[in-house]
Amino acid sequence: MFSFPAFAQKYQFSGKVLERGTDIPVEFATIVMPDKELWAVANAKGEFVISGVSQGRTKVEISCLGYAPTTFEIEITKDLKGVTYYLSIDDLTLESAVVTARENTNSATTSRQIDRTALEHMQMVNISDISSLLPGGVSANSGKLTSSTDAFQIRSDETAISSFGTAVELDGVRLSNNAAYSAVSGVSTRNIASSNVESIEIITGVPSVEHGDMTNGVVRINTRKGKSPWMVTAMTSPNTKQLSLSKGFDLGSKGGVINASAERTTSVHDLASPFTTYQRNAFSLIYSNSFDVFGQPLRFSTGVSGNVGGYDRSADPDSFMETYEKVKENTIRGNFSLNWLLNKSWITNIELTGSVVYSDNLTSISENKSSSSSTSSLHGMEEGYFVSTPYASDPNAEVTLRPAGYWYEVSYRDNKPIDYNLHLKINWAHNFRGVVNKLKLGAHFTSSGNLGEGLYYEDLSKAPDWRPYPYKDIPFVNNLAAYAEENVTIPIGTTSLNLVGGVRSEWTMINNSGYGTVSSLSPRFNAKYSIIKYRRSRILRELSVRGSWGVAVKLPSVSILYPTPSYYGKQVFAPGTMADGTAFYAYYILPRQIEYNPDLKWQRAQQSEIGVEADIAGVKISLAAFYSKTLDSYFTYSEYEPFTYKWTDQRNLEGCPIPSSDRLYSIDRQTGVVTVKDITGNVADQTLAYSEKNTFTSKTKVTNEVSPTIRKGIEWVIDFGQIPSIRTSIRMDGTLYKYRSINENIVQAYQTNRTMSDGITPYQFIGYYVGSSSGTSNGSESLKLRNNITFTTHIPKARLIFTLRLEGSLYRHDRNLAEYSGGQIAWPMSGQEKTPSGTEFYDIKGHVVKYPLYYSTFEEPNIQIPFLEEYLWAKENNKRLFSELDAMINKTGYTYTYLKNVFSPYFSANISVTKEIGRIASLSFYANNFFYSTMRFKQSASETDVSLFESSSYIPKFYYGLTLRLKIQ
Amino acid sequence: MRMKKFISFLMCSVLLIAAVSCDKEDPYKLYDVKVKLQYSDPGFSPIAGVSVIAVNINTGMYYVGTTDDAGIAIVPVVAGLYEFSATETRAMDATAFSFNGFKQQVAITHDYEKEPFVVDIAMVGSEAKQVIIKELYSGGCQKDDGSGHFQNDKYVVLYNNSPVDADLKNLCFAMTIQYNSHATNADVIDGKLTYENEGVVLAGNGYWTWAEGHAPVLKPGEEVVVAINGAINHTLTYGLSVDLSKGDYYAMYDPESGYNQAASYPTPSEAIPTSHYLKAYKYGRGTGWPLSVTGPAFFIFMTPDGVTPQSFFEDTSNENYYNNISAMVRKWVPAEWVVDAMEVFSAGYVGKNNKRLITAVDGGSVVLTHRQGHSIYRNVNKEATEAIPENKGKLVYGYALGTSDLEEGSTDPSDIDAEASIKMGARIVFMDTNNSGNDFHQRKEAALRSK
Repeated sequence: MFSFPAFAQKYQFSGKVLERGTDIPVEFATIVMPDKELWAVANAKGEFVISGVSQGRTKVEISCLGYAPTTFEIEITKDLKGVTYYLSIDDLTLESAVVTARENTNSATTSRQIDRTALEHMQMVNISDISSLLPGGVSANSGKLTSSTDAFQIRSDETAISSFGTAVELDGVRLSNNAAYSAVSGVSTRNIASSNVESIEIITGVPSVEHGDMTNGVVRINTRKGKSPWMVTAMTSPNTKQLSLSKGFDLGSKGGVINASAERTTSVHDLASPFTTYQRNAFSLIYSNSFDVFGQPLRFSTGVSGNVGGYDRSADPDSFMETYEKVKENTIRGNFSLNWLLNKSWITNIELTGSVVYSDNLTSISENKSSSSSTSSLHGMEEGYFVSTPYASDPNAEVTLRPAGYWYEVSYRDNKPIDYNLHLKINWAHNFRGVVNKLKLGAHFTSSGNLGEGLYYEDLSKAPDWRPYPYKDIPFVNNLAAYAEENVTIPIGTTSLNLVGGVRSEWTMINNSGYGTVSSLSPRFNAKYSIIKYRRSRILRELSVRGSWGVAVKLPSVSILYPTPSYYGKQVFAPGTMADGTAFYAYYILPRQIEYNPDLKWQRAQQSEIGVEADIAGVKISLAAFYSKTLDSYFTYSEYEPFTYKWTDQRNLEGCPIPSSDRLYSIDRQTGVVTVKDITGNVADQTLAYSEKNTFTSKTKVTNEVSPTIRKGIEWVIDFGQIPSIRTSIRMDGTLYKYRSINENIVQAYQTNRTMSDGITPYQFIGYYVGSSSGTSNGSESLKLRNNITFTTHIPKARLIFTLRLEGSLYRHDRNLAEYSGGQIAWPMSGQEKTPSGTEFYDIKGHVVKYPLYYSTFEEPNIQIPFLEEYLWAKENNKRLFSELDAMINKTGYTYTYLKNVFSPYFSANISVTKEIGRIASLSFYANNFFYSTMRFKQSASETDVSLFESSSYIPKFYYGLTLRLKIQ
Repeated sequence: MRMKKFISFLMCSVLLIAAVSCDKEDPYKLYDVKVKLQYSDPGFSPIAGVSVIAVNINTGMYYVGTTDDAGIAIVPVVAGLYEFSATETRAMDATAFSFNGFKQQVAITHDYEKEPFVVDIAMVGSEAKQVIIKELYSGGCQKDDGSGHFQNDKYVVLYNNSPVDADLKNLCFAMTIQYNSHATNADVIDGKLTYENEGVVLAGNGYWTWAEGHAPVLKPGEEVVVAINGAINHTLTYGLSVDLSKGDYYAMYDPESGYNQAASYPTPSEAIPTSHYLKAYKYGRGTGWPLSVTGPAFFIFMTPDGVTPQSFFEDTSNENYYNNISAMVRKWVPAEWVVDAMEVFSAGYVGKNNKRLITAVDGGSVVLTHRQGHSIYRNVNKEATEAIPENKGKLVYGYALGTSDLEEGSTDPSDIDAEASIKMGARIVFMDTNNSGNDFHQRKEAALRSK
């Protein structure tokens, strides 16, 4: 903490903001001094006043919706009053128009901003499409919204779970999947209006400690806020149509501004059968104003936004009659923000934000079903043996019987996640002898829960196995975080050093569970040394280096903490099917209790990064090397326990003197003994004989992976600047990315549908494997080198901007891994035999086998027998055991599984053009993969050619679109 | 004037087209392709009168030639890619021997006359067996409400085609992997099965046999129905399906084996004694025995003395993986163990279907259009059936359940309605040339529907 003299001199900075060329005052222009955390909002005359400005050099940023922002530095040595600043209308007549991601050079971590011009030029329909503008990004292959697998993935592209760690904020409102009962992946962005976005900031490096609940970067989406004319946007592409309307209403005489927007986007999945659709009807209403409170400005904003729409696969006439799948994606987001510039010696700003996000994600599915025999549905939630009972006889029976015939099965999955956020942040900024010192303290409370009913059926008599599990009964997960961050900028001669250090502590309270309260700590540090500040006359015009290290924690979702309970259901009685197709099966039901893991740790990432920014003779270079270690990833596994049940079937009924039509079956809930009663009363009750079967039951647990996942890489952006004669600038961006993950958790596996070598006895062994019980690998690694080149021709006089972007995969290799710190787990095979032959298998063509480390038996479940040793012994001494153990061995399907799979280079090209027609209209056109590439590339391991034309996962499909924007004053 | 110009233009166009056309070969020109049947079995030499069939794999057109005394046939074909096949049956020392030959991917070009070659077909001999597959119904039928198809009603009928009793002990039911004939087959390289000359067939996923001590013994002309899925009366729900609930039927039902998928294996009808439940030996993945709906290669084999279905199961040394995929386990079955086999091709895949059975087991194929209630049914050996004196007056002619009126359909050339004749008390002798193309046809309706 820096001390400061109480008598420090303060000055006033005031002036006027006008529109360049017309001298019209720019009301609501925001004037910010970021070094001092001071700000003001211009009044109707464009006038602003910032009082209490300390002496020294400081940066000033002026911005307003519809205008190009401007940044400059001023030296405050006395009151600075009456200066006029001009803002230019943000259009293509400006030389500074940018249609790529801009590096945020002020930040000590890697951060990029994508502005409206770039967003409009790109014509995204889904906000996550802008990931392609990151270094080495790949153009999205959608152009449509019918796929739900859309989420931001930052510095990772392996699995959906890595997107779970990326935080997405919309106007400061955190969008989260924590409360949703769905796959553990990043939040879907397809229900966010894409036409009303003003800018997007993507922090890929180590972020400030004010950001929590994330491990893979932060995406901050800002919508239009401020006075604006009517804006009408109409977009068309083969699969998607969009129409939007927005305006910023000036309420006059300090009444503030209301921004209203509405957007309708419809997307069809397949042009040939346009019956699978996604509809987005998004809206937003945001009020913002600033007031003087006790003589100090207070900026207030409140808003509501949302979407009514969803996915619909109901009307396709190719589907049978009443079958459909509909997914509602209705959401409403409410938020407020108060930012009070107190500008006291002990406090500069206080900011309070709050939000509520509520979604109604109801999935309804209607399926046509039929069966020529009766079927049983298990609904019992308690342990015991139960016989099927017709639903009409007992709707509450543990096992109900559905008669043979035709029916519709209509299911609903009612998911209503709700997230609350309250965030208090206090800033204190001080400048002491040139040292800029900013302290940030904050507290952040979040609460996530679900108000949905969970899965249920329209008609229980036609439902399959089902038990109620209302999500609304699950406790909310509350999280309280407190953080402190110090940001110091020290001038050292002509250079300056910026140091940022902070720590975030979280307490997660999980009521009514074995977890209790879990705490975590996230320290983060950033440093940036600006060695050379901008000098136009030199070759090396600008140079800065930076480094970061930090820990980030991802909170678990409710579906991880409270997984849907599962039930073991084993058929134990199988009488012959009667003439009408009815069979009164009986089942043993065993609830599998949720196994709380008191040792569960929150998934976290240790991130570090170093970067260099330089301007060499006008060529701007940005390099960043990153290293991210994900620790304690969430991992679900099963454990098995021996289980014996009684089995009775038609063989035990063959001597039964009671005619089939007169039988009433009952089964003892505890013992499983079946009794047949004669409903006519003529024959005495018959107790059936049975046989006992030994098998295993499983229970699912959640734990953490014991081995880290490593992601590292280098990113570069080289902006060669514009060649004036052809008004064309060239930008190169790329990434070298390496991924490596090994899972060393010991997992159990049981061969459910196998028998011992007698062909009758259920399998009696449990195998203990490293990482995974299926396949032979327990990890993978990859290395990818991607480079993109963007040519941008900008002719301000013609109000035209044209972009040609070449995207290239220059090198890629993938490789499966089978490794364990405790010893070898996989071996090369000797011919057809599954016995080891040598030890080396990487980069050698041939089959590989993986053995369990050890196995246990039904009789002695707690004795772990070393597998390989026993297997080799059995080969020579016990052929029967040898063939039984053989079933636990996993073998590679291909001889090239452990070869390094190198992909030969492949490329694609996109074009985009935007043309403004005066100030009232603009027209954009894009064509992705406009060469319609039919190129083939080779995968070395399988020695196969892959056609880019036939495979859509490498380059985007040929796709195009056109957007018309109108501004109506 | 305008009309003159038009006529001139038209004439020029016609001349131009004619001139261009003169340079092209006549696509309908027939080339006399010389085919020679080669017999390697000692004691057998070529004979005259054997039909040689060439099927154009692109158009489905077929051409026929007949051998001379030297076993040479001239088959006139248009240029194209062909499958050549030949089959014959001859009696020797009171035993019927069948010979089959098959050659795929033979290209006949317009240069054939300039550069002629002889198509050699190796004829592989096999003996006729006592027990045959009379009918296989695997393709399913349409549901009553138009919502699609139903396919868990597969069955097979075995038949004693010989004049003496047939004991089915140690008889097993099996199928190949690759399951579907029209799927890409990793076992086929350059149009030939990699194991063609190894004298084996491959039993994929698992096999079934009778319950211990309950193998049926079939009298001459007697048959046994085995429900492959769902030994219940399916017709109550699916009017176009079959009733597999009858007490004398057998059922592939063994949930303890791991084949326990509820939809495929409801408990058999209580009318079926449990001694009729078959035992499964499962070594593959999944919970159902995945007999192809579209085009199975199905066979029955009998383990020889010293080997039982159980001991064959326990022996892992006979295992092999389709395309080295560990989930697709199969066991080598020596060809001499095979009692009967049938190679069914999927309709709609002319030129893309692949044989999975070696020629020594089955030299041809029969086409099935699935999901339409059709079955694959055995053709009647007209000569042998009519030669049985007791059949006089019992044979019903005018067979109308063939499908030669349908695309890729077929019928029984004997014209004898086997089922109607059996009802009349006749003993039918079915064709058994170990060539599915000769021995089977696609029946419009599964025979059990009329029982």
